Amino acid sequence: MFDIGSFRARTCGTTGRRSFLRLAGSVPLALGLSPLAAMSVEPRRPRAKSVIFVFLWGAPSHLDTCDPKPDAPSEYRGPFSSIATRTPGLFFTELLPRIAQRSDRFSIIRSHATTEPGHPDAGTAALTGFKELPGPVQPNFGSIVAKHRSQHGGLPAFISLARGVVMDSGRRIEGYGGGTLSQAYDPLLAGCSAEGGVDIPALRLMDGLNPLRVRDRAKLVEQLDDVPRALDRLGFDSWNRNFQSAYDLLLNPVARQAFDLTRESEATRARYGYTVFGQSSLLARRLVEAGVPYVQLNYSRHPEAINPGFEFGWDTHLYNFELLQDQHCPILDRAFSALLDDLHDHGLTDQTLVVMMGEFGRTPRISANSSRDHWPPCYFSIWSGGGVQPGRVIGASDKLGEYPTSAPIPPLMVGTTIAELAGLDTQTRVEMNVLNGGHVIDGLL
Amino acid sequence: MKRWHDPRFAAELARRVGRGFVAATLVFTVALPALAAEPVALTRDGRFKLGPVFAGTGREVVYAELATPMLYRLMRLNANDGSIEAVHPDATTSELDPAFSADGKVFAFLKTVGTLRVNLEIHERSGAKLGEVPPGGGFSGMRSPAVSPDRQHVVYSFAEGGRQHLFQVRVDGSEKRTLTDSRGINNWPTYSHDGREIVFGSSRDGDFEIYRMPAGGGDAIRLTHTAGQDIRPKFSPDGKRIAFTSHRDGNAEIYVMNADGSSPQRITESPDRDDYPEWHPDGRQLVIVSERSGKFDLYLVALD
Repeated sequence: MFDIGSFRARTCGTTGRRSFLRLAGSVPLALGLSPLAAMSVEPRRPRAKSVIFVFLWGAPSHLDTCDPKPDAPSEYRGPFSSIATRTPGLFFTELLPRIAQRSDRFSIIRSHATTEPGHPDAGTAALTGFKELPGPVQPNFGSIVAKHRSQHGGLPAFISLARGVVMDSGRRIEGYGGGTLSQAYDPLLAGCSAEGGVDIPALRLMDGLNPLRVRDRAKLVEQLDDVPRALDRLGFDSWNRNFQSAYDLLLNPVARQAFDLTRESEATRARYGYTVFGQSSLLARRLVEAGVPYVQLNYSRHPEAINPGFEFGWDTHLYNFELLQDQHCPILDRAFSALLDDLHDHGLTDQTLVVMMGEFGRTPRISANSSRDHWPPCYFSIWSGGGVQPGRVIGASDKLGEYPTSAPIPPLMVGTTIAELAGLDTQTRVEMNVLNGGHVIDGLL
Repeated sequence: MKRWHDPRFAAELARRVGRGFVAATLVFTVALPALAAEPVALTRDGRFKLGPVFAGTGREVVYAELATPMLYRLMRLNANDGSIEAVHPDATTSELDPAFSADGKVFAFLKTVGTLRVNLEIHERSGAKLGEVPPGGGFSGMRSPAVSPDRQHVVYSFAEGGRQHLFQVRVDGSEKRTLTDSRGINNWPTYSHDGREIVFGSSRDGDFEIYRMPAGGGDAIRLTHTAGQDIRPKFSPDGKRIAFTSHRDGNAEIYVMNADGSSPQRITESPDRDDYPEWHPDGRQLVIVSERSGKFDLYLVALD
């Protein structure tokens, strides 16, 4: 909530009047601290070297997953039983037994709220902390972290695991990339198949090329006159950045190894499950292990489709209960629990912040289709590692799961907390002119 | 009931199953120890699968497979030679939830006809279309069709008004009737061998439990009473037993109980998901989908 420990005295002189006021406003006056006193605190070291943002695109039903309401009327409750977790008093539905058994490794927030009712707009809010309109579009949390960090060992600082830019049937999430920080901080896009084959569209454009044939970037560009057009077809605005990232990978076999899931044992790969999301989750672990600061692990586009004839993950306007029990929850339960275990086994938990959430919740009242529709006023997130205190339950929803009973936590606080844990203190954020007005989610730290 | 650790399992399995599955298991188990005490894998591709059903005899299994991230395709496993082929190779939209009459002559399935719009199609085995049930307005679609043994009716699940009921139509899609009138979700109906009863899953009393009722609708008798999902019930070919999936022990496993709900017994035991039981026509085996080793494949499970 308040990030007084993040101010750096040496930067006071460079803080403009407006940003100074913004800083001052975030100081808890009740503590009796003046802004100057707060600024004398030593800079905070990043607790999270890397971030994995698990984006449950489409928006999962909170009532049917991590915020069950077993005592609600049948038109709200849904058909699934509740099960105990390892956290006293915390119950999930029976669809997530493995995650429930690992609740001592994460904290949960049940009082998120957003203002955006549609997927692309809510997606932008979820990934940037701000509304899409009026523009300009703010940067993705990953782009902010990427700008603060540098590339590591030839790997991009921000990788988004999906098949192309995440979008719904109509349009993409405008907040997918660099926004006001520029397209230089767009993510490198990489897709992963259920068998673990990795596809990097920008690298695919270089089929037939190799470092021996391509001595320098300029020459490569000359040989690929149609690259911009091809990238446009894939939905990129930022072909230069993706092109450069792919080029770096092309020239760096060691970096490319991070994408090679065949280097993992069969047992490890099986733990995650041979699904797109499962193998993508394993890829995320390999990428943070290799030093990538920010990985956005998208549940869709398109890991495991689908509503028939439609795709974007958790958007279950039809067959909500069937899709959750047959596909989405078993796939998520297996992959996410494996990710938590694997990070732990590799000694990466403390240095890797894992955040899992969708862009909003789903209607607590069951729809005419016996499903659930969009519900921005209340949803959940899960936070693990990277400086987060595990085993906490932050916020709560009311007895029907319709509204938070505590102060709503908006997407901006999510991004601010991620940035804080990744080493971007308040002053740094001010200097970068990002996440303005955001506060850290106090209860997580 | 289950004999995972019985060293005579493989020999007994070979004796019991039909010739076709002997061939299939030989094809797929050559690398297994001769006395393997595990369910026998029938597929090895590992792709996501749903709802296997026998196509009338024990020689063909039809199931839905997630062929691409955007497409469910109906696949046919030929147990004689282990070959697998698409039922409708030219299908460009998703098809799922296959169902056959007991003699295999009538075939029902779901077919996507638009964004979140799913048709119920009813065909002759030859492919000729007998009838269809189109979705309602907006997002709409059926689930879980089953064909009556006399090939006259199809029962299915459909949501409207916030509840999900069972409906029955004639095979030409006409004379739609509502069979249930309860709270919650009613799903996964299947007929008894004589066509007089339907067994199904319902959340009318809270979580999913198994119920049976007259095929034309009426009072339902609750057969299970456990915490956790009890779903996807299937009458055995002789109507004396019901196989189903239950989460009562913490994850999805296959159970078999008597048709009156008595003596439920756990058939599978795996930390991974075992689901979608389907009786072999001989009544001595089940085909299931299991997620063992993180992959989704069809397995054959022998019963006493």
